[in-house]
Amino acid sequence: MTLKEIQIAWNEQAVPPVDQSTIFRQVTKARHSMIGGILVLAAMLLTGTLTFWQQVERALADNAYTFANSYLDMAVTLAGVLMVLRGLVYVLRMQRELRNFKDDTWSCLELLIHGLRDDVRSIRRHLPIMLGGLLLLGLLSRLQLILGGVGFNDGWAELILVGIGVLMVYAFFRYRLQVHVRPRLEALEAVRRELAGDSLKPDDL
Amino acid sequence: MTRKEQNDQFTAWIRDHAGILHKVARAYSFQPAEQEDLLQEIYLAVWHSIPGYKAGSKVSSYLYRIALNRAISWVRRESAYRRKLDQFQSAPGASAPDSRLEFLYAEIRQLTKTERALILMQLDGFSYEEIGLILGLSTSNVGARLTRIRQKLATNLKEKTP
Repeated sequence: MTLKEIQIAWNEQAVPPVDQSTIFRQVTKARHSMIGGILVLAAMLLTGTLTFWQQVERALADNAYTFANSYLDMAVTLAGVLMVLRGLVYVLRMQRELRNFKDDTWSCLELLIHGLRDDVRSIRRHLPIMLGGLLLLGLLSRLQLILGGVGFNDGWAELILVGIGVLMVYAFFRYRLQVHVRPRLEALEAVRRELAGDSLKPDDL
Repeated sequence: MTRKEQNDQFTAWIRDHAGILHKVARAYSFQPAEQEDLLQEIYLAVWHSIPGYKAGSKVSSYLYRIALNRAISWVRRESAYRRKLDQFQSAPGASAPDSRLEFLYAEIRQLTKTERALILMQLDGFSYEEIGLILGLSTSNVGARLTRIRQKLATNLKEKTP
């Protein structure tokens, strides 16, 4: 097959029949599911924030509601709010990425890689700090209870439950990092290196 | 732009330029099911990009840009598909494709993602300058790369043509 034959074969290819109503339905469905996701996350964020605010108000107003017996409610709610906020940022970023496909390939790859690196940083740095902080608050509250005269064995069960929850959340995000985020980041970085070719020095990447 | 205008624009673009989107999806996917998935993603990206279209610019160029960007950033287990394809092509009697076009697409899929983008646009008659603008490369860079890709493709096709 010569180059001329390649060009002829290419120009002669027929356009497959297009069912516009199906395409339109699929796009509408995808858009609605994305909008639905944003609304659900926004509702969760609002509920979480209000709950957290109520807990703070109660801790400030009610003397009986000390740090030791309020930590779990407040810390878990705050962690939930932060995670929902992250989810919302993620969905909004997906929308922005969709709109950025109109840019040139280089800029588009830059944006995608930036977003994925942000994901890696969040999972490797921010998430352990947040979850570690949650556990530290738990330990401090136990300490406060023990110093306040409560028996050493009381209340550890809920702290252990929180610990297990923390480990499960972290394991989920680590799995996501290894299976989805890292491979995608590496693949996109490979395309960017390939696109850069000899037009850019390695320092420019 | 109202939602209705956006929908009308989308319908018109799909009607007039569906071929571009199909070509890109076919060149960047290794299985029919994957091609369908990629096409859906491209349609969605096209719909979202309609408000960013500047009237007067070339629609085919704009759609190529969106489709290629979506396809290039489409990361599936491509290496696994590529291995399967290699096994298929090296199997005895498997060198007889359905048609010349299918054979050509199979060869295009063997190229890297950037090379595929370059050769697709070249085959569809885009100038080096237009290709450079779409990919974010200089015109001279596009020319040099395309010369290499055409030689590579022609050599491969010459060797493997049944």
